[in-house]
Amino acid sequence: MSVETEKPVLLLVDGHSLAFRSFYAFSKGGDGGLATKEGIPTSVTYGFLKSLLDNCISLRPKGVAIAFDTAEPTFRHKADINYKANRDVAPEIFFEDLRQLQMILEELLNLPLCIAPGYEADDVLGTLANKASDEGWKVRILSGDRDLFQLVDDQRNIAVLYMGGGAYSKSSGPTFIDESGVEAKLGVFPKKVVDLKALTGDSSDNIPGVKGVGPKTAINLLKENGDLDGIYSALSELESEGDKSSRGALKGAVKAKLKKDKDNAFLSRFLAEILIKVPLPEEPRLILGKVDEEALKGRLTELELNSLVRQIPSFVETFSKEGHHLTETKKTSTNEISEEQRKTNLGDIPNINPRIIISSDGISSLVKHLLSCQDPLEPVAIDTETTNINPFKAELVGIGISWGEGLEELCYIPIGHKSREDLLNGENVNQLPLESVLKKLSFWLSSPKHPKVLQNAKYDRLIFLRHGLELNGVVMDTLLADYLLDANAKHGLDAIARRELGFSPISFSDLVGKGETFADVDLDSASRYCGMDVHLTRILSRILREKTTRSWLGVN
Amino acid sequence: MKKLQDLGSALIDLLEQVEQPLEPVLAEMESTGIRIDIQYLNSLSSELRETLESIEKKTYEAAGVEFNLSSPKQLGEILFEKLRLDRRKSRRTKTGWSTDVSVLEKLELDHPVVALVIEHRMLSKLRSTYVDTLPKLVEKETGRVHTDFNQAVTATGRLSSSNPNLQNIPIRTEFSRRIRKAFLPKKDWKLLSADYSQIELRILAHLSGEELLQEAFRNGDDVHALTARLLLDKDDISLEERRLGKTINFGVIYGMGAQRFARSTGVTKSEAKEFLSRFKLRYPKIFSFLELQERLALSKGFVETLLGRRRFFHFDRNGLGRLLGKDPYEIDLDLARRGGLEAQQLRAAANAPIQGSSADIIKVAMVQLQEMLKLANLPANLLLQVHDELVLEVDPNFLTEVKALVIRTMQQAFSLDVPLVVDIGVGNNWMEAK
Repeated sequence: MSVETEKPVLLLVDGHSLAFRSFYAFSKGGDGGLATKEGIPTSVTYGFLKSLLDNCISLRPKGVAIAFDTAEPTFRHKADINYKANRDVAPEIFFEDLRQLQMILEELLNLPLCIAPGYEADDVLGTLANKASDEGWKVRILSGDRDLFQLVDDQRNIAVLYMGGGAYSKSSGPTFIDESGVEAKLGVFPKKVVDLKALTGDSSDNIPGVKGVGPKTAINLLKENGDLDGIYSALSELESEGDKSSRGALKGAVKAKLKKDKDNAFLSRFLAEILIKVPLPEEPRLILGKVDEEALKGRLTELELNSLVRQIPSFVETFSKEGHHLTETKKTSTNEISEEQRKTNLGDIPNINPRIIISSDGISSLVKHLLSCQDPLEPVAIDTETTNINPFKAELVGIGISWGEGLEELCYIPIGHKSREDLLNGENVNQLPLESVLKKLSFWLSSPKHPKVLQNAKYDRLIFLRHGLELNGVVMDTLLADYLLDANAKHGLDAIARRELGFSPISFSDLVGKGETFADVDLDSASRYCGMDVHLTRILSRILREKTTRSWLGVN
Repeated sequence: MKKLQDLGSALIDLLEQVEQPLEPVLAEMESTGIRIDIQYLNSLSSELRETLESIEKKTYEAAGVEFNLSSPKQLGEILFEKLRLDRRKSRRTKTGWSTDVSVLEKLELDHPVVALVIEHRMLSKLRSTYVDTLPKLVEKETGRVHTDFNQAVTATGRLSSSNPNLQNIPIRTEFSRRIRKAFLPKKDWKLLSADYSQIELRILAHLSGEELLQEAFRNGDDVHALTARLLLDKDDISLEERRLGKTINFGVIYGMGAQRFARSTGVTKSEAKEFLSRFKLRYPKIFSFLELQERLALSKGFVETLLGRRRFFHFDRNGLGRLLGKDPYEIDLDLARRGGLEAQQLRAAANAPIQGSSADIIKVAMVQLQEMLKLANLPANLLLQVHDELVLEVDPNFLTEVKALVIRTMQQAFSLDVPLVVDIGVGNNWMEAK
């Protein structure tokens, strides 16, 4: 994600906004809206899925996440008993329909549903939008709620796709709202939206604002005084000058209204501000995953949503990682993965290109480069391949090393592959002798000043120990980091990769046959297999470090 | 030495200051291994073989017929067809009737043969899993057994071991004593066992803030007797009554209900209910702490330990999962505890911070102990970790220093509102040391 020109798009969806709109769009006839012959309500399910698909077909996002409110009071409700008190409670059929929809979104389309206890969906959207922007995404927020306009930021590539025109308007798609779009619609730029609302209030949310101050006045006040604090400090300056004093829009009756409702103004600002750093119970996988086509077809058919059934190929195409199809088999000329493996991949396996080191010069220059890597935030990943899971019986077959996230920033040092005709591209090569490899690596390996990352360091440590080598400088163990993030999950490298990166690497059993060991694998496959391990470890090092460091996982 | 009390809530600290430093300690333990007494194990195996045979004979007598005890099919036929025991206590399986441990436990009082089968099964399993397997695990190169210590397996945060699985040796049984006799120190050295005494109760006292209990620990009182006194409202407590206090003390940590309490102590169910409510009355803060953990699990989806380790709980999105985000104090726990599986999850949630905090403390102790042993250059090796215990082998000439170091390091690993107490034993094998 470091290429500036082509940032991937992340679509964040305001779940309730879209769900309510769908519900009311279909139930205006008063007959309860869409439903199956048996009476199972489907307005929300249908409307939401259709709208989501339509938007995504044009947007082509690489990631999608949907935010919802939680059932009970949030910090805003706690701050003001009147907050949203005027809202009608939606009928039970809405909730039934919503749950049905959520199941489809989460389990069949594999899209993360995000909530944060004590906070509203808006806060979740605000948090995710900013986090994603930091990570290099282009963020688009789909919502019918103008409150989200405050999140728009051209610099940070965050924009809103506004579904205006009322719930019944199905004609045109949403409007793209960037900073100038916000100004056109509200009269102020995003950074001032909260202050605007503090003054004008919001009747739909029952936010009071300052009574008697409307948008025109508010906009002028803000233009002249900057923000709410600016307005009130100007106001108090004027007070000292006398009753008849005025400054621009701060005149006459307006002054009195502002003075009277000062508390309400600041309360309103508090209520109107969307938070951007709330703790989420789980960090969502933003990247698209895999669509369960069969089950989706079944479910949509059951719900009698036939027009959606006809669009299933679009669903699969749009919501699968990099447009992967279950039936299509991609030919990657250099990867020797099985047909089976390709079919079950969540997405494409990155086409890594490891250097194979079989010369003395090669090792020397490798070590020279490794010795220059001393940034603890950019540790070098290392992994051993051996003949046995028991360190007492294991023999070293090869060592993989990765010093960067690029597809070429890794290498494989074969040591103990058995001599065979087809060892490397049909040629028999001379692998470097074990002793000389270890001797050259020994200083770097044992140096605490040279940061390293491993998956299950204990194993490799024991292997090195048996060869008289010490391992120091381990700044991250991805197995342990993943364990702390969720003790219930699986922590093998392939499981972590599936979860965090959305693809499944080659499995060991695909590579090593029954009765064989890693020493029997040919160099090309071995280098890609081990190369993938260190490549993953290197990338996950950063991701898992971020996840364990983020304050949103911590609770204060 | 770094004190870890003021750990930030980010997991990175737990990772960098506890788990990652622990990894090399475990590597060294695995690499060192432990010496075992193969001859003793062989004779123990023969002895168990004889015991098993004698149990088999008694079983045939009780059943009135000879049959293959290891065949569940035959056993099922004997129990439910020949002896006409209550089939409703079992289930049908592909081959006949289920005779698994839960079924047998229900039938235990219905016929003497059942208890015999239970004992036979247990001894047979222990013999094969431990007695016969240990010698096979010895590495030729070292002549020792190298247990694996798994750091990323349990949901609680505790370590687990395999080859052999030390946690599964049933505690406080005759067998466990005898099997421990097979674990030896290096030749001419001694084996040292250091066990945190009542660490879970102490952690509970600390986390809940229950003053009575904290006071008792600070004074070095017998907390089981204390509980018994509070429950029975009298000062003189018999041994039997103390056991009552003990059962409830430990049971509460695991969410034991009236039924189980009645079963383990022999009181009636209504007496058990009485005791539990009196316990709640006398130790109100313990209860509110445990309940709070259940509420947090429902409201936030996870609970935390002393060092910020998290354990997540997932409830049915359409069931208890809807409580996510709700104010923890507004959740109706009685209602939430109704469902079978979910009630179990809630009990686990109440227990998780205690279990997990024990794990935290022991891990910190191990990291610090290893460091201190190296710094002081003492001839001693950390060998095993199981439950709340650390096992080391020590050069007898340095026993005094090592003992002192171990006690000091373990007791100071974490500062609680109550003291941590370590029991030490030394011997020529693990049985003697414990």
